[in-house]
Amino acid sequence: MRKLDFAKARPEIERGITQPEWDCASGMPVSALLEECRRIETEMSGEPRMRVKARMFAFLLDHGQLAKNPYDIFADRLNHGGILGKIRLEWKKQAEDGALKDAMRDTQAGCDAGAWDGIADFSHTAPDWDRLLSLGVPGILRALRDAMAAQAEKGCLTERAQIFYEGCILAWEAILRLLRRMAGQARAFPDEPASCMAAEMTEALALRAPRTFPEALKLISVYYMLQNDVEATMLRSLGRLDQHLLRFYRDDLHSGRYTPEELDEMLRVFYCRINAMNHPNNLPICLGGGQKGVNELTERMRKVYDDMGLYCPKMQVRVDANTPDDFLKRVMDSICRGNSSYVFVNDAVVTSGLRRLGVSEADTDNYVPVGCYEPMVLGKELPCTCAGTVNLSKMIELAMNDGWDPVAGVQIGPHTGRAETLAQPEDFERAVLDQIGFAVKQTQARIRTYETVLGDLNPSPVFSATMESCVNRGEDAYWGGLVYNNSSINCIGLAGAVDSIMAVRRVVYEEARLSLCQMRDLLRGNWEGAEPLRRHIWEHCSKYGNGDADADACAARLCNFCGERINNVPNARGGVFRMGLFSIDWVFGFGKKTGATPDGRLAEEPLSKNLCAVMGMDKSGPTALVHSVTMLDLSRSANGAVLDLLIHPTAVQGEAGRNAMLALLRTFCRRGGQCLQFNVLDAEQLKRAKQNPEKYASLQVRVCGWNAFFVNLSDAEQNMFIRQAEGEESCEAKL
Amino acid sequence: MGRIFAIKRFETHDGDGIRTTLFLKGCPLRCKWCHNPEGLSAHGQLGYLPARCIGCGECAAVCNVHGMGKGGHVFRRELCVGCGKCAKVCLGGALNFYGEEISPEDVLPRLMEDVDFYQESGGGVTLSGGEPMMQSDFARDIFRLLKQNGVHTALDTSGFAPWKEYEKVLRWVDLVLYDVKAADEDVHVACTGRSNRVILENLRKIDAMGKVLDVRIPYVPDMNDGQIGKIGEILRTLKSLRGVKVLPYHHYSTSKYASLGIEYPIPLVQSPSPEAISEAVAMLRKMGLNATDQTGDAPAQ
Repeated sequence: MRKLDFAKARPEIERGITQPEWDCASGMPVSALLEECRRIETEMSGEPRMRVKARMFAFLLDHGQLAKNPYDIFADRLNHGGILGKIRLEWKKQAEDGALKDAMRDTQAGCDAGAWDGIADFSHTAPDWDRLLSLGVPGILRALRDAMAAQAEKGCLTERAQIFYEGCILAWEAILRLLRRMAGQARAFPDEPASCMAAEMTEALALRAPRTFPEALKLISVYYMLQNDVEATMLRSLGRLDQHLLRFYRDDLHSGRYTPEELDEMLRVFYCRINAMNHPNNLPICLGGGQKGVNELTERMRKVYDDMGLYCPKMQVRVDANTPDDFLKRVMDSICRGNSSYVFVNDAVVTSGLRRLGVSEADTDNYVPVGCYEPMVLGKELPCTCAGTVNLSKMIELAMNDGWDPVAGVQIGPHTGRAETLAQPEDFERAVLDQIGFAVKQTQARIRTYETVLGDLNPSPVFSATMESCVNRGEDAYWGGLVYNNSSINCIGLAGAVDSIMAVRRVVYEEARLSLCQMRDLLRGNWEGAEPLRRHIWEHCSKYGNGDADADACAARLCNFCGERINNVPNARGGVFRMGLFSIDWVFGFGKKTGATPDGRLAEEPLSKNLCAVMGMDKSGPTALVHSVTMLDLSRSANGAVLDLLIHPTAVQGEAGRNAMLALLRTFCRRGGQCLQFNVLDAEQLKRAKQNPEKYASLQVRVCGWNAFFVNLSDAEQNMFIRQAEGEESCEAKL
Repeated sequence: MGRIFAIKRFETHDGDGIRTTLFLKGCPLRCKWCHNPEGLSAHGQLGYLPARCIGCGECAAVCNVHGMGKGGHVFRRELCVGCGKCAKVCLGGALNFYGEEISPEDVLPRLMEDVDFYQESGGGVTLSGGEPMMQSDFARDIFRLLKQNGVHTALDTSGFAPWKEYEKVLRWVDLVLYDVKAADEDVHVACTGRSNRVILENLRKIDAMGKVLDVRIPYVPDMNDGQIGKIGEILRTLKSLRGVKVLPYHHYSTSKYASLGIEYPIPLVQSPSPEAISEAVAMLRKMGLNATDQTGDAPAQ
């Protein structure tokens, strides 16, 4: 291999991603591409969208401009203008204004009010990386042709399947041509070693499957661009890279083709490009886990990543009893040194959760967390992990008001009883559950509405052709061509809902400080004139997150109820719904639409985040919080359930501190926790960073499910972190 | 029954593994740098943080040492008997009661909550204070209950107590965290108000018993920082000593002093520099002792 100097080339490689220099002679400008796509759309009006999309895709690949970047071995930029994403948005709008209009109206009120939401989730996918790497582009194309021929021979080739195969073949032939164009482009710089290598690799990939570690990385890079950027089927996981790439890695070293240092250099280029893509929620890579566990490449990938000091990609670490302590401790060490891009995912709970959804035992082993931490069976599932949302705190508000939303002033939920008729705490809780049950149904209905047109809005030849079941059946992933065609609904604001139920129970039913009607009126007035009562609730009522048996039992009841209503209910794509218990940053948007709640929360304030306690209410420290979270049956939450632990830096100092963190994780897993992410922060530092952002430009925090620079967060998000950190410090009574 | 002032979970640097520390009230010493002033008195005490007071008047309704004047809340500390009733109703978190009375049986479940974490990390429960030996019967009963439940136990002690108190509890104790604050008696008296003779005697006795022993030396500039070498000389003669930690003085507890109405004894003393701590650790290591800073990490060579 010719010597590449990554350190020197890095700025050029990054510039090639952030500000690519397009070669005007290599193709048409974006405006012309768009014009031609419009022409295709008009010309093919009325034809199946798969054909239309594949035609446009092929046109973009054949005629889009290529970038000049002689320093990047993975050079793969195509000036596609994001056109297919834009067109899909238009198709979606047309459907919403047309065919879906009536059905959408039925579920609209709750969406407007922030009670629930259901969308068409075109994001949160991952292709079958193993299949892509073992077949390569020519192999995928061959598999498509073979499958179509086999069906034709048997006389069972339906028109629909034929449309699928022809669309995919058109798209993948265009990919082959693009590879040749790219190789030609790279050949224009014969003096640059990186460009020569890029040309050789690209030519090889146009002829066969990858054989070497760099070729495999190259294919992953190109494919990512084609699926995520051009086809706009958002690709939200680079998969279990340490497993997919292992045979290439071993073979390159064993054969002496490359030295370990040269392969590290490849990883550096690969990571640096992902980092430069600056994906707002970061691009995830999964490490370890399953029967194969942590291998020598896992460790290299971790080490190189750590040494580079990057904050993206983000790393998802699958953990089971066999995951080596040493490996986990090195990850803990990175986190303590300020890299918060890791999330730990507990194999035992995830696999039992997937089993409960009907996933076969063999399939569960090969799951990958897609997006932030949403487990999905690699190569067999399209989980639409963010299709639905149910705002549990809003359900308290609806239960208090007999289904009427005081914020929007409309009836949203069912009549579950006016406040004066809810005589017992059980009555109130029943009303909350009934509101939740209705909201879940509405959300499911809304998602199904979208699902009826999903395949029409988003045929995905690039994505689907990597999937064995799609190719065998001749059915697009968005038509239901996968083994598991699931959709997911996330219940958000759990802690706030639990604390609200506990507060009502205490002050209304036990202490009789006021009636439920009075409470309802107080909340409508945003606690006006009732500060002492609000403080009383804040200070003295049971709170989820402290190992309090009553609050934790209430949380478990809510969680189980939601799970029963969501999980395994059929969707409209031949799959089922899956429950998640994470909120990411929806807590702000849904919080804005939620009035004051009995837990003491003021109107419009953010909801409680993920599986965390209400902000500042986890007064008993991290072990108690873990205790509460693990009282939930998280195998019911196969779409992901994450706890954010904020720990003060002094608590995890030194070897003893790292060991304590590891023990925290191990105990979390043993007790049935699912996903765990850490922030090691102190409040004073955060306050200083807020005031002097220029001095803290590199301070990382983990936001809900991705990594960000603290100084780039909104004011509300910064304040949330500061308050959470202060809460943690109030537990620090001592030296 | 015993009197406690705090239960702190997820302690990671006070003994092995993840621990829960129970703080017992009362201490015979008056170390000028004490960071737990709420542990000094053996009686119930009220801490008041005026900045948190929201003027709700709930305290005044339950106790007449509190009143609502024109300028807001008035607290007459001189009349307070430390019953803690007011803290239970305080809505702002401004009143904190230190000195809950509790039986060993009742405190046990609270110490057992993190038992999973102890098992995973090799941790357990630490009794600290104050000086736990001021309530040696209570301490013994708790330790015994913990041992009966298979929990690792640690005693964090100043060493200042009659030997008979230690004899009571030590059979139930797995690890002793022992403070040595000065080697010279006059320095010790100046810093803590008491002689260190008993402390050093007890140290030798505990050492002779073969208990796992970790010594901690608070490092307080201008107070005991000249004593490190001499302390090291004493520690060298021990046979059960596992490690020595040098703990830097800090002044994070000033607000606690203020809330208790106690004047902060050493307002002018600065926290030591990290270099000073490293030097002290290096000096002790040169003497053949397994010395570390508060993290427990051996310094890089």
